[in-house]
Amino acid sequence: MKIFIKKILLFILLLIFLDFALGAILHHLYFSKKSQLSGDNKLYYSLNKTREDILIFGASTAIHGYIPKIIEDSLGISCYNTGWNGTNIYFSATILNSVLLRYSPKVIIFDMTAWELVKEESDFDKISELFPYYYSNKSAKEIIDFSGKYEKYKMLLKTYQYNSKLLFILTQNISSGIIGDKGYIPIYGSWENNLQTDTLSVAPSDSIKFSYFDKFVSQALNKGCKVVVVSPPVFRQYSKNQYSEIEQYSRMKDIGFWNFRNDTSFINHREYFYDYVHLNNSGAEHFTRQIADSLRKMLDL
Amino acid sequence: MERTEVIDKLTLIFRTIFTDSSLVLTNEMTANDVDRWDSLSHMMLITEIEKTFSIKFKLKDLNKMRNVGAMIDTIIDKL
Amino acid sequence: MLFTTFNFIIFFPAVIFIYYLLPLKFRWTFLLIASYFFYINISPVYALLLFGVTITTYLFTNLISRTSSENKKKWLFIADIILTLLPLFFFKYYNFLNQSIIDLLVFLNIRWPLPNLNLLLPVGISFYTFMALGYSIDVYNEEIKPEKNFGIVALFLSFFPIVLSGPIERSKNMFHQFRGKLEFNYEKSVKGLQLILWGYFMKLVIADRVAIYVSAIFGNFEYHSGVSLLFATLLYPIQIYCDLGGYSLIAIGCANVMGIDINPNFHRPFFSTSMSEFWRRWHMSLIKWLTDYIYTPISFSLRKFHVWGIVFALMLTFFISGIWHGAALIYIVWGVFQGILLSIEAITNRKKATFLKKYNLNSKFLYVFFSCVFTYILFAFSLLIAGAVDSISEALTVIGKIFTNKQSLFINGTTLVYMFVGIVLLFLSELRDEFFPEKFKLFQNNNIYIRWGAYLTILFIIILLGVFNGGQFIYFKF
Repeated sequence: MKIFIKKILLFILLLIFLDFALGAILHHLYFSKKSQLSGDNKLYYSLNKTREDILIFGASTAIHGYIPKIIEDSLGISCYNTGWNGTNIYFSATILNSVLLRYSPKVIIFDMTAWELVKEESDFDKISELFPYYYSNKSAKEIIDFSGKYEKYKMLLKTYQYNSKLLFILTQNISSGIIGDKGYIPIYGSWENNLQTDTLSVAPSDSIKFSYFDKFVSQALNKGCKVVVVSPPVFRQYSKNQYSEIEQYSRMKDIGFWNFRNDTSFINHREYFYDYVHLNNSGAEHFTRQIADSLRKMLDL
Repeated sequence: MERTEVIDKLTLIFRTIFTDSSLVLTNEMTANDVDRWDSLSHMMLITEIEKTFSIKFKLKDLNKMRNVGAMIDTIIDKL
Repeated sequence: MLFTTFNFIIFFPAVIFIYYLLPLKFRWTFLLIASYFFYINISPVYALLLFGVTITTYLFTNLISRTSSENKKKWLFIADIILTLLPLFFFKYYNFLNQSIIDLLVFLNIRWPLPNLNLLLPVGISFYTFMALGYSIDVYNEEIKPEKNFGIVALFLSFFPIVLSGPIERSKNMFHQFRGKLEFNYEKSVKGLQLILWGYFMKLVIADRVAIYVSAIFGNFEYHSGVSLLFATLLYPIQIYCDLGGYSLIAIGCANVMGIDINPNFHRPFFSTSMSEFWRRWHMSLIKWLTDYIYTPISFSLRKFHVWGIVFALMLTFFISGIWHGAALIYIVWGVFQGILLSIEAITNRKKATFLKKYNLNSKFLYVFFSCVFTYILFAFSLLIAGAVDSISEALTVIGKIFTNKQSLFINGTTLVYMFVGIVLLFLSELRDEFFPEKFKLFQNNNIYIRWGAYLTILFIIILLGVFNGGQFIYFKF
C-alpha cells in the first residue's frame, strides 16, 4: 500500500513537471512570430494588434457580412472585422475590453441578432477559444472564470490552456486563425428556399448578458467612440418587432441603431443570401456599401 | 440406471446433435468446448435428453447444469 | 455527479482516502454512505425512490425464502416483481403509454382526459431496477440465499460506480465481495487506475469529439449531403461504444481500486463476425441479464417448438431490450429489428456452420474482415432507427438521402483530425488485444518507463484533445 501511495505521488509530481514544460513549449509555439502574422491568427490580432479606427464586432453574421475594404475605400478610414462564428456578447466584450486598453477607435459597430441577449445553453461554448490568453489577458481570465465554477482550477494545468489548439499549433495555420480580408470571410452560394414569415416574439433577455452589453456600450462611449448597433439583414419577414428592447436602449444611450430587418433591398433579393441568416459575398458587398453610406452621414464626411 | 449407462446414452445424443461421431464426453466439458453448442442446440439437447431418459427438467435444473458432469448428476437425480 | 465532472474528480480520491484509512469491517458501510451521498448529490428526491425499491426487495426476498408454501411463494414473488417494476414503468413509460392510448382513442374518435406528466427520469432507475429484479428472481429460483443484512442489499443497489449507467451486476457477484475482506490489492488497484484512464480517453477524446461531428450532421440532416449522412451513420456506433464503453471502464476501474470486481461490459464488439457474436460482446451485462432472466426461461418453456421457440424467445428478449432503452416507438422497432436479425442467424446457423467448416473460412482473413465490416454496417444502420435521429420517418429520409444525394462531404478539419487520432489509437489497441495479446504491450509492459510513458501520453492526449465543454461545437451553416 505504501509503495502504491509513493508511486501515485511520484506520478503526480512528474505530471505537474511535464505539464509545466509542455505548457511552456505550447505557449511558445502558439505565440510564436510565425503564427501571429497579421490576419493569420484573428483572435490574437483582434485582442492585441488592431489599430483600425472602425471595428466591427459580432458573430457569424458579422464575419460574413461586413467587408472592411469597401468601408476603407469609400471613407478613407481604416477598418477591421473582429467577428467570429458562434460567439456572443461575452466574447465581443472581452475583445472590446482588450482593444480599449490599447486605443480608442472612432467607431464601434456591433452586429446583433435578435436573440443575442437571450440566455442559451451554448453561451460559454466559444469561451474556450480564449484559453491561451488566460494568463495574459485580464478580460479573458474574467470571462473564463465566469463561464464555469471550476475553470480556474482546470487552468492550473498549463496544458489545458491549449486544449483543442494542438492542430492549430502544429500546422500554425487556419483552424482557429483566419486568413481573410481584414477579418472578413466571404461565403459563396445562393439560398434556394422561399421567403418565410416569422410571427414569434423574441424571448426576454438575460440580465447578465444585458449587463455585459450595457458595459460594452458604456465603455466604448466613455472612451469617446461612437457606437452603432446593427440589426443585420435576414431573408425572412418578421411581423413582430424583436428589437424593441434594443431600440429603447439605443435611444436612451443616444447610440445609432441601424435596423435592416424587413428591409426590402434584401428580402426581395434571395441572391444576396447564403442561407436565411447569412449574406453571401454579393450580399455582403451590397450591405457594406449601405453601412458605409450610413457611416459617412454619421461622421459628416 | 448406472452412471456409465447414462454417459453412454448421453454421448450418443451429443454425437447426433453436434454431428460429431468421435465426440467423447468429459465431466468438465462445457459449451465453449464443443463446436456449435449454442442456445439453440442447447435446447435441442435438453429436449432429446428429456425424451431419451423420460424425465422433465425444471428451469432450476437448467441453471445447475454448468458442465457435462453436472448434467449427468442432474439426470441421475431425476431418474 | 457524472464521472466527467470536476466534482467527481474530487469525490473519488476523497472516498478512496477515507476508505483505506478505515478498518476493514467499516469499509462496506462507508461505501454505502458514500454511494447515497453520491446519489443524493444528483437527485435527493429520487434517492428516496431508490431506498424504497431497496426496502421492497429486501422485505420480499426474505419473506419468499421463509415461506414454505409454493403457492404463497409464487404470489409473493409476483407481488415483488410488480412493486419493483412499478416505479420504472411509471417514470419511463407513463407518458409513452398515455400518448399511445390517446392516439389510439383519437383514432377511434374518443377523448381521453389523462394529462401528460412532465417527469424527469430518476437517474439509474433502469439499472438498479434490473439489479433488484435479478436478485429477487435468483432468490425465488433458490440460486442465492436472501441477504439478511439490509445494508448489504442497500449497497448492492446504490453502489456508486455502477448505479448510474451500469454495468448491471448480480447479487451472486457482489454480496460476497461486500461481506468479504475489502483489502487493498496492489495489482487490482493499478489495473483499476489503468481502466479509469482508458475510460476517460474513450469518453472525452473519442465519444464527445465524434458526437460534435455526428450531431452537427444529424441535427441538420435535411441540409447535409448523402455522403456526410453516411459518414455520420458509420461514426455513430463508435460514439456510443466510446461513451457507454468508456463510462463502464471508469465504473469498473473505480470499483477495482476499492478492491471490488465488476464484470466487464464490452469485449471489443466491432470484431464480431455476426450479430449473434456482436450481442455477446456489446453491453454484456444487459444481454446477460436478458439472457438469464428472459431468454433462457422463455426458450426453455417453448423448447418443444424447436427453432420457433427460439425465435419467439429472441423476439421477446429484444423487444424488451428495445423498450428498456427508451419509451418510444423507435426503440421498439430497433429491438424488433435486432430480434429479426438474430432469428435469421439462429435459423441459418447450422447451414452457415457447415459452410464455414467446409471452406475453413474462419481462419481466412478476408472472410473475417468482411464479416466484421458487414456486422458493423448492419449495427450502424440499425442505430439510425434507434436514436441517431428522432423518428422512423426521419431515419428513412436519411437512408433515402444516403442513396440519392450526390453533394460533397461536410468537413471540419479540427474535429476530424482529433477524432481520427483517438479512433486510430483505440483501434490499434483493440486490434492488439484481439489478435496479438502478448505483443506491443504498453500499459502492461514490464518496463516501468514504458508504462509510465504510456500513462502520461494518454493523460496529455486527454488534456489536449479531450472535449471539456460544448465549445468545440461545429457551427454548421444551413
